[in-house]
Amino acid sequence: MTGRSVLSRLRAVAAGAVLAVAVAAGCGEGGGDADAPGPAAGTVPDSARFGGSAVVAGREELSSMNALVSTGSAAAQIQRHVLFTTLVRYDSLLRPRPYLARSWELSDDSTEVLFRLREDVRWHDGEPTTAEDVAFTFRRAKDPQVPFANRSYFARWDSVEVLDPYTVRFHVRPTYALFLGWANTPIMPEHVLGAVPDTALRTHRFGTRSPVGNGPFRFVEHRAGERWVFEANPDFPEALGGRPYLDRLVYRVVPDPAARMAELRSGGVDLVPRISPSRVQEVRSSAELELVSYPSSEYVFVTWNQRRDLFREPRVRRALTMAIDRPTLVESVRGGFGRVADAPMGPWHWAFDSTWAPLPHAPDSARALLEAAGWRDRDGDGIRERNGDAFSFDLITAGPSQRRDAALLIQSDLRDVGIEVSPSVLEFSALISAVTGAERGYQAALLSWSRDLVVDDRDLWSCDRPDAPFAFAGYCSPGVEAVVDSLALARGRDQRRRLLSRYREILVRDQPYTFLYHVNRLDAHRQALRGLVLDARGAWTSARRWWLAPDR
Amino acid sequence: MRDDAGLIRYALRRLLQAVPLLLAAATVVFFLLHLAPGDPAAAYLHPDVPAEVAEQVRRQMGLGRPLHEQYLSWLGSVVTGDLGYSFSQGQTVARAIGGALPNTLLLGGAALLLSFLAGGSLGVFQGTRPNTATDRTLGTATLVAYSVPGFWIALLLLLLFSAAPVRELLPLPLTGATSVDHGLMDPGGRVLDRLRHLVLPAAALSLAPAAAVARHARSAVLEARDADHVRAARGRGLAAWSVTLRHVVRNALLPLVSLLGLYIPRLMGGAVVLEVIFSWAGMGRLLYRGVQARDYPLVLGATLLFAALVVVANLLADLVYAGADPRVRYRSSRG
Amino acid sequence: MPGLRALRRGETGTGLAVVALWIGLLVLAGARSARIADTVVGGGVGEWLALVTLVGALAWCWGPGTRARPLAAGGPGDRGPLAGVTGTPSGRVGLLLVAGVLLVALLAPYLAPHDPARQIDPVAGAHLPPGPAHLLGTDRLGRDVLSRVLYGARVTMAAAVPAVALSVGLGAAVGGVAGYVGGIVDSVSMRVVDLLLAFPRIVLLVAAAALFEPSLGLVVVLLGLTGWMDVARLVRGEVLSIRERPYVRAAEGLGLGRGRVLARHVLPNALGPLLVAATLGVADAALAEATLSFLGLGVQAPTPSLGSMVAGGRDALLGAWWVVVFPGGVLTAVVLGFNLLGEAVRAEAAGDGPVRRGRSATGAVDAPGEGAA
Repeated sequence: MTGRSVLSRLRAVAAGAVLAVAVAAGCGEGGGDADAPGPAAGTVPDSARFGGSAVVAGREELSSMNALVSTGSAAAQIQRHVLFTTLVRYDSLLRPRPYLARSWELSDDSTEVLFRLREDVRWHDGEPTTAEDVAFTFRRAKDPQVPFANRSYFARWDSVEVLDPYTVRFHVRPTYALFLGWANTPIMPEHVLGAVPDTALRTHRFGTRSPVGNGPFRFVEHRAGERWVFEANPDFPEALGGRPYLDRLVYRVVPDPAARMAELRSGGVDLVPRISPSRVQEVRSSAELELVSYPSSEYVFVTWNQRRDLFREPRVRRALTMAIDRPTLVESVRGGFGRVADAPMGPWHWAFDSTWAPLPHAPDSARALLEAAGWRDRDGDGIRERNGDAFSFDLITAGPSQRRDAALLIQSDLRDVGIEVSPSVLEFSALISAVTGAERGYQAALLSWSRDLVVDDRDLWSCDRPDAPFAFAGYCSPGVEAVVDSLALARGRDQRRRLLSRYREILVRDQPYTFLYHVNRLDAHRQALRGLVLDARGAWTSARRWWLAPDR
Repeated sequence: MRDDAGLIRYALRRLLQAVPLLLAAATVVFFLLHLAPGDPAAAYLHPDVPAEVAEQVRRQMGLGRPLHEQYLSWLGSVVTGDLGYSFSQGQTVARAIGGALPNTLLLGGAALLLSFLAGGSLGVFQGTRPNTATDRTLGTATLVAYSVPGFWIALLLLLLFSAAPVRELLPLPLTGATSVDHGLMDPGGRVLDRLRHLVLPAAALSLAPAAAVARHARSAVLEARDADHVRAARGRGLAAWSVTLRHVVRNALLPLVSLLGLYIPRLMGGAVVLEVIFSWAGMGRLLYRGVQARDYPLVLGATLLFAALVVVANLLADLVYAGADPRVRYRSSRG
Repeated sequence: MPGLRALRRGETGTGLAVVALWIGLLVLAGARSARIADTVVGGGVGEWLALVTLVGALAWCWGPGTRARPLAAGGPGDRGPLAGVTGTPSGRVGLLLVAGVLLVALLAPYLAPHDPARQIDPVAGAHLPPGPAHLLGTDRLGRDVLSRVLYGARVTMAAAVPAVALSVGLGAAVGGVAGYVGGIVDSVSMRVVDLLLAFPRIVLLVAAAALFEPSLGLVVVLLGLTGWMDVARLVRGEVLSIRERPYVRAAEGLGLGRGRVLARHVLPNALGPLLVAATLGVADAALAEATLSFLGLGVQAPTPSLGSMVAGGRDALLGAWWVVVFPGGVLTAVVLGFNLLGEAVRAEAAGDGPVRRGRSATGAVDAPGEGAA
């Protein structure tokens, strides 16, 4: 996907459930199913919607269907919404809803959660899905020998016990982000994988050749590097939506962006999630295609490595932020499909306040701040110096052309205030080791990040663990630490809203990052594909309600 | 042929020459790859994973051991057909290659056939009317075709065949090797489905080689036309087309066969970028994905396999040539 | 005035070309006088190269250009390698394209209307169609496509020409020594050549380019190291045949050292085929560089490269065709120019050169066709 995040592989990691303001249609929440009907709802009777194949094109091959070892967000989405089920799922307002779990109870001290499971969900090989599967999945996910990507979900999670075949109890330490793991971790079949040793999980044929799910679609075929084919599961419980409308759902791997769009135009593909903003015109000009834009929880930022002298002073970082013309950057790089950011909470977040004003683009103030900090151009070469060192640094990034473009714009903005930037585009894994590795010798990096539902940033600004992998910037202040810590334990949205607002003030003051923009995601689909609910939860949330309008 | 033993000896000798070639190739690539910066485990592992787990995964990938041990064990397992485990594909390298190879062979074979058929006929056509306006125009056209970058032509083809008017006239699948419902088709439908998917990538891939073949074929025909027995045949008053077919084309074919070995590496190279554009799940895309993920075993295996394909193709071309022209067998090396 | 003498002699084409070139260069010098002044004050290597080219080209128009028969003329004594190339239309077109590309590449700093990396107006000026302000339009960041194509051609040449120089040098050395010394040296080096030829070039480049930080220097080295094998085979074949000639025998008989005989007598006689291989090699290297850049493994942004321009334009293929079509078209023209020129040189050389037909030649150069003499 052209909109692939720089940290997309990390995203599956950090990101929890997703949230947000549903852009498409109003959200009926009957029976815990929050999927809104498509635009043509009502005009086509339910019974006429069954049948057909829908094809979704993605950039990357899905690493595995085994949630315990897979990486990548597309694989995670398909596991959650297509092939498997999760204990709970989020509705479009991001409230947890029953799914595999009929109901749950949280103990008064928030240290125990009891889930009662549905008794009518069966694995596609006929076995019932039970508490043993749930316990198996969570035990393995927490097992240090298993390379489970989202281990951070369970940092505050102690143990699980099976009370009876359909009741399971978790022992946890109180934290606001608890539901993240339950909504995002698909339950794996214990009867298939239970006997597989940890080290063999990754290579087990379950992952890519014979996955057995319990979700609305069944696995049919996987051609490596080409496609995954799923078919409707006729036995999916009525209460959870029953048999999906589609007969078959296909994920096709089409790495080239031009080829993806050509396929969409020609009808070889029905949905292309995350198109590049430069495609918008093309999609809009076609009568057969539809463009959907909605706020996502992804934001793009520059991290200033504060382990280095250059970026240690908050006023210098403020100067950097004010020197960058972020409104122009959003226009140019995202074609306007985004919003200047100053904190992780974007328009998707319930605590977002549209009166929040990010630091303005003010090159003169930036110059004044730099002068005040002792950075002056003494030798007339247009670059500022201090103590004989020029203000020049490397800005590293990776990923889609939009990142590269943003880096080039930043380079020219900062040149105007006398700072020399050398952008360089690294190979993805090289970028990851540069910003998360032990040495962290980088100076500045342009990254994207997706936090989804829960703003829990303890691992970004950790004073006691300054070398934690996600502490990119090496920023720490007692104020921010207190806020993010209390945020994690706060109950109730009012209290959290106050803390988030305080959190944002600190970020604006100290500028540990220069937040660039919140991403408005762009998905394109053929008009014939109906019933899509596209919001920050991802493209696949409503897959079992997708249907194909008959030709003309 | 009269001299089967000689041919077999020749084949065996060529085969034996190929073995050290492949081992040396493997060695070169292996050590080159390990000079690279960047930790392949970092791409795979979540940064939050405890150090000991990371170490364990590295061990599992063989990355923890000293380089020479990795090399020796790798070489040892290559000989036994074990190419290691591809962490980016989640399966063994042999299996990943096994899945991709048929697609590449299909695409490469189709493109090779297309180049020789189209290019050969064009060359013969030109060669039988040398230095006419038609010949010169076609000569320029083939040189232009030879000079067009494959990735560019591929993009333009995608643009063209996704446009509504063209699509109605000639609906062709744009990318992929088979349709989504391939598995539901009857055998005849499947063959047709595969062929339809082949059209665009094979056309893009064979454009440059076809142009080259046309130019070679043209000069081979010219040369054959001047040969004594052809002059004699013409002297005997045989019809022009029959002379062309019987003598000229047949004699021009032999040098063309010798060119096979020359085009196969080109085709394979062209396949890398075209497979990426046309989402063709073949060796080229596998290699590219391996490179992106720094998946050492996969890149090593894929590169080695490309070399093996070229070596085998050259071997076959040489054998065909040697079968047709016994003198070749006694030359020790080509060129 | 340059070219007039040629016109008077009745060589209309050559005369007009020289006149047009001369006037064009003068106009350019006038229009870009400010940039030229900047170059004199404090220009980088690239600008100085452009300035030297400009002055040199003007001087050429007055000097050899005025004499007007620089290439086609001459008796048997001074037949340069390019002699006769201009005799055929395709040779002339090839020469014109190659000269044009080299001139454009060298003069890019003066020719380009804008800085190729500058985002003139990233918001309102993005994806402007071709028009008076931007002859070839602008790309998604509002950069001038014409300027980027000019600089892109420069990068292509800067990668391909040194790379081919490297591979020709390497190939001539290996092939020359192997062919002349023979024996174990020969068989070992030919095994190495076989080994490297077993890898499709792009496969080797893709695998290797991903290993190191991509840069122009790296691309040059990689292209050079993957392109010399054909040259080595070719030179070896030439040397094998030349070695047996009487004058070489005579030189050896006189007791000259092997190295000397090789350098003085054998290699110069292989010059013709070497030139063909070099010219065709540039075409090949330019394509390979573009393919690498297209895959994102070549020269890195913000340096414009024709391949990465095509890759960058993929996102808006339908809406902004000019971002993809022009760089691709220019690349095709560059490659075509070198192929045409190489063919013409080959055809010319085949006319009076040693026998260079059949299997030895087909196995030698990875080239589109053989000279149909």
